[in-house]
Amino acid sequence: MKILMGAATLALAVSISPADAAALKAIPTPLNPAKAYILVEYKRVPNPYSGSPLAPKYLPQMAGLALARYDVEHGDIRGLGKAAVNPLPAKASPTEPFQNRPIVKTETSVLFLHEVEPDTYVVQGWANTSFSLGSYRFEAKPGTVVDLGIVSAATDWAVGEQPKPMTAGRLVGLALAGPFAKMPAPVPYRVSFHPRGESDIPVPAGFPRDRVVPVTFENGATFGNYLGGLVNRVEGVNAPHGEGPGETSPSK
Amino acid sequence: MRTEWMRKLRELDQWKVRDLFFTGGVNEADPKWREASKVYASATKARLVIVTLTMLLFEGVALASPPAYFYKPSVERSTFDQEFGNCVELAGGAKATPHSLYTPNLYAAAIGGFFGGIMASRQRRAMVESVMRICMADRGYRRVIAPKGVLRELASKSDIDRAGRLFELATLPTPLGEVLPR
Repeated sequence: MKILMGAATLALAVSISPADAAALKAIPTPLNPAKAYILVEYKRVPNPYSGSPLAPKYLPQMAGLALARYDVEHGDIRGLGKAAVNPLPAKASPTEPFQNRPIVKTETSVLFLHEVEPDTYVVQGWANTSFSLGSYRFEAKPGTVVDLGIVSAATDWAVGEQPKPMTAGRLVGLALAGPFAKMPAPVPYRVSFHPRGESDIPVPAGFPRDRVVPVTFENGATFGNYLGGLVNRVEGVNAPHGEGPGETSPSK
Repeated sequence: MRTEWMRKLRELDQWKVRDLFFTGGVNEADPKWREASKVYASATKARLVIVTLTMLLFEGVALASPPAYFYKPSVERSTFDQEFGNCVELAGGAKATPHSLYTPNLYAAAIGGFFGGIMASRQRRAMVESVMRICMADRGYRRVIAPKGVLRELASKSDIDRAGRLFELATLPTPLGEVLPR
């Protein structure tokens, strides 16, 4: 039994990658010149049931951005797919997943700071959606804080489709049919960024001002579906702001 | 021009990697064997997605959308193969959330696993459908409800022949069926 426990502990220790990237809970002073920092603010989502007794005004931040190290030359995430020839050092993960560890929290927003290895990064996804069809990439240079600004996410409903309200009859039907119930099709997310303004959380005073640089996004980064969920463009294929980049109207 | 996954399917059939795998007697250090293993894994994934798409198309699973094919009359065969193949590859990455149940009761575990498997399978099919729909819409394709006669015809074809027939349907001057929203 002890041998089994020891083997399980060893296997667990081997499976955990060393932390080469992390969401910080405080501003490091001074900044590590060998690392890059990514600052991003999320607007909190209002709770539709906030009128109920004891219900919070905003929903908890359950999902967020996944960032990944990107190989511009091969057009994929480093060490994966087309960029398998450009791997990361052993045990380093190319993905910086969402970690709910804000450095500043207000009633309407949360501010996150990620300490990462300097590299080219891509906005890989949000929650269960991978922006494999086209996303933003940006440079994170050593000793600097890249300010991504304010990000907000929305479900990318197709034209003419909207969520159906959950009525009592529908709820009973779902409960009775169980795994055979007719389910709505899953819908991917899309995200949008805008620069930090006066109504947003200001850049914390602990940062050296000359080290904070606003992000410069380059669009069009494509990669494989490594998050294992749905896919979309970062701005949304079905977004109402315009037709998809490849859209053509078929003749009938 | 055939897409990468089509080439892999052909290689799979030519090299009979599956036979090699199950009959044993292979040298795993052989670079040719390692390459063949990669081809087998990739082609198997592509085939799984095609089978899933076929199920979506023909069996009418209890999803919100009807069985449909993709339509874009101006597309070339090589472009269709490439775009369809890319979307199939992205759909191959979809993984359903595993449903696990722990109980000391063997019968309860079996029943839970059975229904959990059904739900996970449905979830994966729904995800594959969503990925194909979004990916092909991004490339300018529209969905068209497939008539029953077309479904029966497609069901009788092999994977490669089915891809050819799907291209013919995609480029018809007039779509065979109702054009759905993107």
